Amino acid sequence: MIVKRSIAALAACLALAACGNRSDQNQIFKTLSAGFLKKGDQQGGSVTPEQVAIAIQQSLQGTDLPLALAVMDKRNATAILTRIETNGAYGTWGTSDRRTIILRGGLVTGTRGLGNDVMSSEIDAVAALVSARKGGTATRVQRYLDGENHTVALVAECTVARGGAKHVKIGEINTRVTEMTERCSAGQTQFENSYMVDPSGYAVQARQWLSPANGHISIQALRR
Amino acid sequence: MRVLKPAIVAGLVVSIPWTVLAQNLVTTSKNMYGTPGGLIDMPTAEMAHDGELSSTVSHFGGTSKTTLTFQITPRLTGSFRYSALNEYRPGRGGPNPYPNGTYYDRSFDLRYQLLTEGQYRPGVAVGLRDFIGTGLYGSEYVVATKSIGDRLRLTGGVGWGRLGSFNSFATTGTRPTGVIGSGGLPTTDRWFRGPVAGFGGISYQATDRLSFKAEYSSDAYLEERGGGQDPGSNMFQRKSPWNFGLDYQVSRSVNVGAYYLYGSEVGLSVTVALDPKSSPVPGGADTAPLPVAMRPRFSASDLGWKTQPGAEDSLRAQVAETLAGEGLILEGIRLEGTRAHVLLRNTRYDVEAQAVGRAARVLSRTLPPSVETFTIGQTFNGMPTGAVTMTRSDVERLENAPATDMFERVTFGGDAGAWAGMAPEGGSYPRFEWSLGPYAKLSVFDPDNPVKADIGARLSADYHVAPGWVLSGSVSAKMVGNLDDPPSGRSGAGPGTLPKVRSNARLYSMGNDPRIDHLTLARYGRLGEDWYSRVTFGYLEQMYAGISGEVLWKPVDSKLALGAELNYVAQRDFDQLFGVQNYTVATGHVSAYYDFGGGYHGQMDMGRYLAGDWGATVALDREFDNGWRVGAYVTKTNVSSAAFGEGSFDKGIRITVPLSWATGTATRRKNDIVIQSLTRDGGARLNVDGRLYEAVRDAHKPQMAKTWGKFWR
Repeated sequence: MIVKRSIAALAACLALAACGNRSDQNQIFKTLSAGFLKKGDQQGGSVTPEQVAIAIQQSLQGTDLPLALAVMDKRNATAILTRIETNGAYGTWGTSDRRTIILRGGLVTGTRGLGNDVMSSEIDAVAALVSARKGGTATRVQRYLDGENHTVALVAECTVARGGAKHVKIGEINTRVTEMTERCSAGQTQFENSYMVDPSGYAVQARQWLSPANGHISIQALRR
Repeated sequence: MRVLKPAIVAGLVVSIPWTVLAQNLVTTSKNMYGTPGGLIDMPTAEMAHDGELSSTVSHFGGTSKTTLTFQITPRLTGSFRYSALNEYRPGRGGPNPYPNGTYYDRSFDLRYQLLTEGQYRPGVAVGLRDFIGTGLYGSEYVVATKSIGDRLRLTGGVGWGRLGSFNSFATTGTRPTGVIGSGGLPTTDRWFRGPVAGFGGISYQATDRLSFKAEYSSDAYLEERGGGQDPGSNMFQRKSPWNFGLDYQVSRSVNVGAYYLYGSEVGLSVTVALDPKSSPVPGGADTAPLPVAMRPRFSASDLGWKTQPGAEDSLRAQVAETLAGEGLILEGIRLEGTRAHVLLRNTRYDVEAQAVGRAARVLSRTLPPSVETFTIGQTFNGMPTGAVTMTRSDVERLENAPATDMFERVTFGGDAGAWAGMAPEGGSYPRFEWSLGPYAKLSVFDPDNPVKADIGARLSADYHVAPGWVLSGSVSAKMVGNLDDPPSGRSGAGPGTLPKVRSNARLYSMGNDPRIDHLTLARYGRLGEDWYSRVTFGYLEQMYAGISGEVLWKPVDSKLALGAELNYVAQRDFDQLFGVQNYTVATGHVSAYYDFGGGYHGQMDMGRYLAGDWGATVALDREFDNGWRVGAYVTKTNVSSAAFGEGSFDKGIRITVPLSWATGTATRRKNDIVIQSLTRDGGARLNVDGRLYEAVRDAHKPQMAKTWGKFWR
């Protein structure tokens, strides 16, 4: 029996690919994880609102850490983000499958593990306007890695405009907000971000453009 | 000619913009010769996108051509072509010496765009077809192309050789005729000589994907028609100089064409092109790194952990475990009050900056607050190669800054002393690694046979005795294959007069018995700052056993490296077991390596080759910073062309494809493809594993600077 099984294993080694104990052995068989976040059930693809509500409730009960809900339309993916680390004004928010988003005042400054990641950003001027809930123009810079791993910068001219007052109530967030929109243009690339900013200047809800491959991400604070 | 390891094909998803804007006369079309151009059988002054690598298969009139083309610079194209001519009679109607009726020919082309296109000025290119082959396709041309609007391009040119063979209007000097015997030398005595004829054509880009073309050909196809007269035609009838066709861009990487040629033949072509510069997943799809952990304020002076018993051991264990989570293995660590020296084994990341960046963040999360300076060293087989030193404060402060800010703050070191006496981490040594898997050994584009291959199983193992000491072995058994087919036609003819140091490769491939690929004991070490060494002893490669020693001088921030290698080897028995034959030779080289910048890298080796011949090898590569490499090399030794045999001297093309480029996930795996001229005895080098330059270079400043953006990835 054992002999048979060993022979079968050996045959599998030879037929499929190499086997062994070298540390680089199985790396290449890990496929690209398109599902940045937990995808919904197999059939529908997207997650139902009920599933999201349950996930939010469970997460809020399961931890004391700040939480947020993220949705990426282009990848049809939804996930709970947990703030796993802070560095000054920056917070690193992670998913259970090891993708992270870096936020400053609710604005995305970086991503890791999504592919075509935002490596770093210059958003001081934009963030100042958004946080103060004032209109104006500002320059935004987002840096990426290209196919040769060179850093390339996208420099966008952005116009920030103040919208109406609203109320946001989700998770442990229950606050008055001011809607702010940001229209950006960088040559051929045009994108629009929008933020719901609470009285403290934090964007508790935001829909922001990440990169050509990832499109927009929506982030909703659940607990700050 | 052989290809080592088959290229990965499946993963090559490519993005070449298929816009047809008139920027420097760029085209995605290829002609029947597989070179960039919007016409059919005639050249144009158009170029492909810079760096594009394409493969074209075309067929018409009894001839199939397979062409590999590389856009070496924006204005320089190089091509290698393998043609199969059915029922061809060399020498214009002579007997076909090849039993299977098919004549195989290899040729190289170069084209250079002398003038870029202006508003009124056409782009002008000069080209050499088949300039070091047998001369079957030998021709030279000067051609001008002008675009009118975005869609229409007009081309006119003059050609010599084949391209001057129909309706010539002038003659410049006399051109030797006939196919050159063994080929391989530049056919300089023919260039731009003999009858001159004009050719031209027009291409029209009807839609983004579809283009139409028509041309007037100045190639009379004398060779294929047998003696130049139609009744003797043995391949096809040339009834008209006019050709018509269309091509269609199926996807970003695939282009197909259909043509009606010479009033009698239908032709087809398929091109697969890829752009090494663009990856399917820019920046990679690896999971996120751990974030930097900030130290509590005012904690940096707390050295309590130094005096606490057992604290250091648990720290080591924690560092090792956290590094392992990032795919990095701790080879050794030395903790002082405010400094940490950490030696890594990186088995995952093809970009070293990424490995160092991840390690830095791990250290920020694990080491006591008093540790302010990190020195992170990399290793190759236990030998320290290069190190990056940074302050922890910078890691904390610059986590969200552009990567260049961090680059300006770190220092690179090649000092071996920093690691001397460091105790290897438990579990690292001794260690045993093994793998078992299938292998395929291909030989393609032989003059006799387009494809030969062996397939079998290989068991390999490495025993890392101590840092720098590796006992390595590999055994393989062939299951099926035809690499041992007896030679026929040209590859068996004219073997030259040198000792058979490589040309009896076939004898090493006979039978299905297990054979020892290699069995060696190697010692890698440092001879001081900037100096590296290797000694390898045993059954070094398929055909040779003996001892090989190498030293390399490579300062950590230098673009120049110098090396020397000395080997004393004996030829192994054909059964590849433990015996050796009575041919022994001392062979070795001094080498210079230089990174010219802009993606160009050169190497020169001078010394004594396996047959005892003296000479030099010059190699030039275009390197892309994601690991792609496309290059060529030539070796000339003091062996006459006659003694060398077909090919006249050794030359080849080499391509490296990083697997991470295709999968988007960090891996150090890559495919090396070598397309070599015939395996001959002149200019042959020993193949030994673990040569130092490639092992050391990636961990040094010039290489790490290129992809430093991955430090924070």
